Amino acid sequence: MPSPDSGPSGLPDGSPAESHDDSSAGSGHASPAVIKPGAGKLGIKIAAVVILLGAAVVLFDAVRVSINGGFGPQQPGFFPMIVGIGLVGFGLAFLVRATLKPDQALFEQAAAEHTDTHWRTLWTVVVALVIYAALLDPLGYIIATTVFFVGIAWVAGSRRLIRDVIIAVLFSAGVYFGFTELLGVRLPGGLLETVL
Amino acid sequence: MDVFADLLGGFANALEPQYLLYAAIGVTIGTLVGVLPGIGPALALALLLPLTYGFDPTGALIIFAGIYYGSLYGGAITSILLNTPGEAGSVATAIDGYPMAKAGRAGPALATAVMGSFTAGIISTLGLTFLAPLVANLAKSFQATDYFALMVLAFVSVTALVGTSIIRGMVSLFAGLFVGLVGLDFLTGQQRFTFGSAQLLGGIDIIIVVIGLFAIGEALYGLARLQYAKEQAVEFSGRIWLNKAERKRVWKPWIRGGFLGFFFGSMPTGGSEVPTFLSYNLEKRLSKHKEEFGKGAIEGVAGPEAANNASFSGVLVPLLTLGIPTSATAAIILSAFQIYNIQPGPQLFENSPDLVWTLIASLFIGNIMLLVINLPLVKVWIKILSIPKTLLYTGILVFGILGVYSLSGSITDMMIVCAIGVAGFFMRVYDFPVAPAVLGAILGPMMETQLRRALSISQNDFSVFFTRPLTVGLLVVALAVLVLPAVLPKLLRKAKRAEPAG
Repeated sequence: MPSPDSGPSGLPDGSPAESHDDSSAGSGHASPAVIKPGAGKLGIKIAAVVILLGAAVVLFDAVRVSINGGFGPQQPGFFPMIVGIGLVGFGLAFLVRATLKPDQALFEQAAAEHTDTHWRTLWTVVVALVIYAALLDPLGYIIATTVFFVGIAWVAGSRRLIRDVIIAVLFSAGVYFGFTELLGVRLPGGLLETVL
Repeated sequence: MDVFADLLGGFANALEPQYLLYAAIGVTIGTLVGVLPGIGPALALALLLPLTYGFDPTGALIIFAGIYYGSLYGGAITSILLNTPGEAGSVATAIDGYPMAKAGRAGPALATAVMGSFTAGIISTLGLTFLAPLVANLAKSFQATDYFALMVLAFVSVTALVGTSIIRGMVSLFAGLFVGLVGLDFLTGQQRFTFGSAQLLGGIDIIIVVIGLFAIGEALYGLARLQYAKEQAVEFSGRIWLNKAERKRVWKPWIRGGFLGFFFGSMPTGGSEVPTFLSYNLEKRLSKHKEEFGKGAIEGVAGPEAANNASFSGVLVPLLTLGIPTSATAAIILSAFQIYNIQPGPQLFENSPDLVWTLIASLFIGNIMLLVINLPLVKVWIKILSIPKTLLYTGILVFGILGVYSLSGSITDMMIVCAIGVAGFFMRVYDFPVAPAVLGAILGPMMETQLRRALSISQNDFSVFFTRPLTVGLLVVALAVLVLPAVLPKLLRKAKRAEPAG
């Protein structure tokens, strides 16, 4: 059995990609027929480690709340302590199922899922989503949404740029005016503030 | 009888032309959104919540009921034609619905789904009409310990009955509880899990959790697999109506599914996953055409789809009478209530009877609208399925961010929804059930409140949880639900092995 110490080698959120980035990324229709049995093993272990790290942070903060507010059952720290202990406990149990006592059904499912996942697309979309959310206010709804829409469609494999741009502009303008004019929900005007 | 007078009053309110129009709009928009692959009722409601901000409470609730029924039906269309169920409740529908569609019988499958939904919806809304006032009356005597035990039962059953691994279910549940606790403690004002961020003081809205897990997570999952996509839409042709032989086969499953769905929906377990699968298995057992199951048996569509619809009115029983939402859909509706300062619970039926009975009446109307508007329009809805997947998932991402932005406009919230979306993606890949996380985030804070209330009455004496019969009964059931699935198969095997020997 491979030792789980390969986990911390990469960034915690970037490393699941390493286990399965050998696929020919360029060809859009490369449908892998065979499920690689090893795929996803590392991912499960990393998931277990991430869960445990998160659980440790939760427990740590719960202890802090308890120290500030008291350990009694009516104090604000009581329930967080239960949650922290529960997370650590079940996180450990999951780690055991990922390493010492492997859960075969889970490993099979993960292998199938990993084989079907195009990791580069996933992380590109996640980064784009965060940037989109951050630039929504400064750029304004219509511009940010149009750029995001066209970009993601391209990343996902759409190659009909003109159609996508037309749809993106109509869509974002429609949402913007529908929400601000009809529903009274304020959306950011951004760069177009003076024009709109 | 009282109930009839109340219900008639509700109909008098809901039958105003403007409300009828709202119901029609709700059903149409709901179907439009629900028919998109991967979008189920909970997500449709979360995404469409901003649309209701401009309406009065009654109007908003009527639109909501319409959106719910519409999206449920939309989900059935995608399950049957694309084999991509948007929510756990439509998984069972796809088992036989998709083979039926492949064999060129998509029309009868969809007709069974919508007419079964209608039949079951009427059965379960009648159930709600009569049961809810009784439970509300009963609930007046409920104490904090009973509420606490009810929520324990809800947690245990959603974790043990849904999903394949209790460990992963529990991780999911506790992660949800953690999300629910973020923010200021309302009793002492102490900061919990805010990690120094002022934006987190108000907590994380349940809408953000639902949009993150379902919309963002689902869209990421879809986009990441698009490069290797293999699923094919089925051509739709032929008749829509059921022929005589089919009608004969489906009406009993509809009725059984309706009762199953309502009964299990109104239990603290909530949700539609358990009743739909129970209904599927029941129909398989009772059917004269067992060999057709899995290959396109019409009963396998009729039963689960009826149960799916009926479970909604069931879920409304604990939501309206106890204020406990037991499914993601119910949690969104609770959020909608809170926007209008309506607090569900035993007092709701006394304090705002107009609203409750109008809501119940609008459920009947929503069901009827579904039948009149949707069945003839099947071919229009199917056109939506031809939207390219790339644009579809991108659109879901944009709508998800829009939903969060219209809540608060806060960039922190949008970052949180991205993080929850990534978590949702990996939960799907590594088979962590999402239902426990959603339920934990909703019920966690309520559970803590009841725990503290109980302990403050008893002055920190934990024995209150073991002296009240109702509390003890609920806790025992919870323990049984947790332990029996693990122990029962072993006991049965032992008994089987003992038989030939003895």
